[in-house]
Amino acid sequence: MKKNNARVFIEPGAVYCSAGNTLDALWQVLINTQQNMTKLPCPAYEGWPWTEVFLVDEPGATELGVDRKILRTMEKQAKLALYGATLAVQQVECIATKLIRSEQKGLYLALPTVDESVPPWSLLETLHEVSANPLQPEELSSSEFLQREIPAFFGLSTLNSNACAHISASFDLTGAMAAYSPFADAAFQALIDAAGSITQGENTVALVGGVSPKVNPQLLLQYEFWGWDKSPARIPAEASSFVVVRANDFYVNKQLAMNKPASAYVSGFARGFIGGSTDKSKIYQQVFMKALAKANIVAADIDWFLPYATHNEDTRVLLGLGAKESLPVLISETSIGFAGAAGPMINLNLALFGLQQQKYLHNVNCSINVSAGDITRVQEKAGVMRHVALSVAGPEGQYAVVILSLEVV
Amino acid sequence: MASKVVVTGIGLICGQAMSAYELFVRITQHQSSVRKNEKLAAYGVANSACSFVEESVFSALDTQYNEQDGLPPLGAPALLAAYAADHAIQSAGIDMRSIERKGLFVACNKQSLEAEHLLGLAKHFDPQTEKVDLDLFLEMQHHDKKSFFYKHQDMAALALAERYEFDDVIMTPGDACAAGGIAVGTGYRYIAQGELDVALVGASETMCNYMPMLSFSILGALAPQTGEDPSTISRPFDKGRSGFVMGDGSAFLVLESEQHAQARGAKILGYVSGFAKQAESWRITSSPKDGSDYARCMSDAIADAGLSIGDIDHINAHGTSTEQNDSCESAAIKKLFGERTASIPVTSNKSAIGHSLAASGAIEAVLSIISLQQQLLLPTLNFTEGDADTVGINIVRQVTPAKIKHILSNSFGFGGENSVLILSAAEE
Repeated sequence: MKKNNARVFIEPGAVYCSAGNTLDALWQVLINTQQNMTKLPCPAYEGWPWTEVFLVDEPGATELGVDRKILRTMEKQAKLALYGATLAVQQVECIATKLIRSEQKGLYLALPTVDESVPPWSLLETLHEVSANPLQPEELSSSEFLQREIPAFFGLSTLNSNACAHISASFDLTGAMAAYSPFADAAFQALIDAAGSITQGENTVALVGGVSPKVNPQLLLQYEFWGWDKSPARIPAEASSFVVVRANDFYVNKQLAMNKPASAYVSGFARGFIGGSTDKSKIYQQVFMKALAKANIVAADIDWFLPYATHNEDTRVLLGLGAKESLPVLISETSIGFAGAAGPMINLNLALFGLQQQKYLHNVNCSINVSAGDITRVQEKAGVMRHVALSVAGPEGQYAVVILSLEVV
Repeated sequence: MASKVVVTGIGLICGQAMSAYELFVRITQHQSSVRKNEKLAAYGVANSACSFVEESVFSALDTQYNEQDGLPPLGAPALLAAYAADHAIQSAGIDMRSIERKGLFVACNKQSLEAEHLLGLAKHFDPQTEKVDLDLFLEMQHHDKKSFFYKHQDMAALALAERYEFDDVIMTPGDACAAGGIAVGTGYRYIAQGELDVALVGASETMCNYMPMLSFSILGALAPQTGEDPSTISRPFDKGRSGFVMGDGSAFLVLESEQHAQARGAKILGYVSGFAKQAESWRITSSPKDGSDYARCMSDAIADAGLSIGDIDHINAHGTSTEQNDSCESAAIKKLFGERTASIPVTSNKSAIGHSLAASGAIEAVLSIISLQQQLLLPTLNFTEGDADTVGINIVRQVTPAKIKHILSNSFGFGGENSVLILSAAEE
């Protein structure tokens, strides 16, 4: 394998969320603190707090560019993944280009456990009618009944690899790949490994994506279990988002010739795990310090911070490490909902968009109370914005930080 | 800084075997772990023979891990993972909690609702309003509130992270049947690049339950069962093969940089010396019939190890016993090894233990390490004669002493995600 230079560039790809499917639209929704929500599409337990959630339409065969028969093999999350990838490929030429062999084009996908459509409501209905009596209803042992009720491709369509397969087949990606599961932190895990695959020479370019869970009754039960149903920053959202990472030597000359703005690269990253008895702040601090050291900068160099699912608790830690008192912080969840692994990927796209345009969005007074009602966001033109930090937390202690830096040409 | 990656510990649990060496011995004695699952048969699952872990074993593990440790409750895959990982760590003689630069790589695919959970849910479904009374469901005393979470792929990884204080890379590959190989290979890659000193790598899968068995049966991937001896159903590369047999299992390896292992005086069991993972861009249900994608992945893994075709002494095949996989894999072996094909011994462990999806790659890596240690080739059970596609492949039929230095281990996943490991013998 020919190893590439250490610098891995990252391009904004695509967002598909209730706020829109372009970064311009999303940016505007965030400024307006809009919440584009629709009616909860599934049954909920008594006391479920939100009658509206952030949903997206399920893309069809036309949007996905596949034969209608293929749709039978795809759950909604696989469709969201493919649609996000499709939008990204339309945006970033280095995936579609024939100048790079397909064996050098990779795919790194973070997606939660693909939620099956089983049990379908009709199955539950029948089972309900008979479940009061025998321990083992006849319907459960009726092959004819089950074959009618269980989708033919259920065994495959709910495997995460299936979502990857549709993307790799659509865009001829046959390089190194991986699928990561299932929570928000998987998005940065995918990004970090995709960047590693470029430096190791396994890939020249890679699509990196994150997909949300599907809003369904089982998701709501998870909310109840974790107490998320009490946090307005956790209103469920369906979304998909992608970025593209690439080796440094492929487009640099072409880019210079076109006089494009300098590119962003992944300059630092680190991961941590907050176990049951671990001091959360200490882990935040260690992870930040590792990521900053890798990026060869100090906290004061960070120009913008986008935390995700941390309840903004790590902002205080970053400030404690010497970040500027005026550090702008953007918390996007209150406008786009909580979209699992798609959320950090959306933030990554926002960070790249801001770096390209040298502007940022930040919440006013966000460190006090992250709730839907009291958020005001302001867009500002950056003086010189070079380093952006992003963080993400998973529900069981996972934590990761990524730092993007702008190349000085 | 590039580093050689050694294996210093192995642990395993699967149907009928509570350790890696126990399983190895069973296969040398041609003992299959596949048998009829009476519970699944009672539920009407037509292909109920599988290599399942007994409920009594799960019950004992539940007592061991869920009632004594005071940690969050573990579901079935996490219970198997905890057991296999404990064994791997014990066999490595390493105090995992004290290691600073360590990572955790645990492959697992999704879990589905078991029949009991499905019935529990159905009881609280109101057909009039199409609503499930989730409140009541959650309050049911006999119901484990976390059962919904057991389907999440990374519950095993998180349990092990908590247990062994992993605090850096904690990863859950979910790449179907390639995921176990990818977990082992990714851990190898992190150590080889100098980012970690130690990695706990492995996989866990418990697919021998109601919904997965039904869904793979409906898909046509499982071998039809018509009353034959269950131990003869899985017959990789044989002309009579007709589909795979499901398996439960978990396996773990402790990987270390060679320097780290030597510094603590650890016994080196073998090396992970090469790895490749790739997507196919083909179809979700099949791979190119000419074996070209499998061959490319195998070739890249050999190159990653700095070896050539001539250095490979043995192939631990993916060998699922489906008509399509074994044909494609045979084509790939012939394409890559050319004239050497007839002399390269090939075995499929799935003939004895079925296919445990993510876990299979890790189990086969563990069995390969023992093969390297003992210089023994394991037999492929139930192979009598190849068909037009598999003829010419040198299938090992009897346990065979052999000089083995490098083993190539294949894992090819549904959806066209492939991984290949190169495992090498410890230097004398």
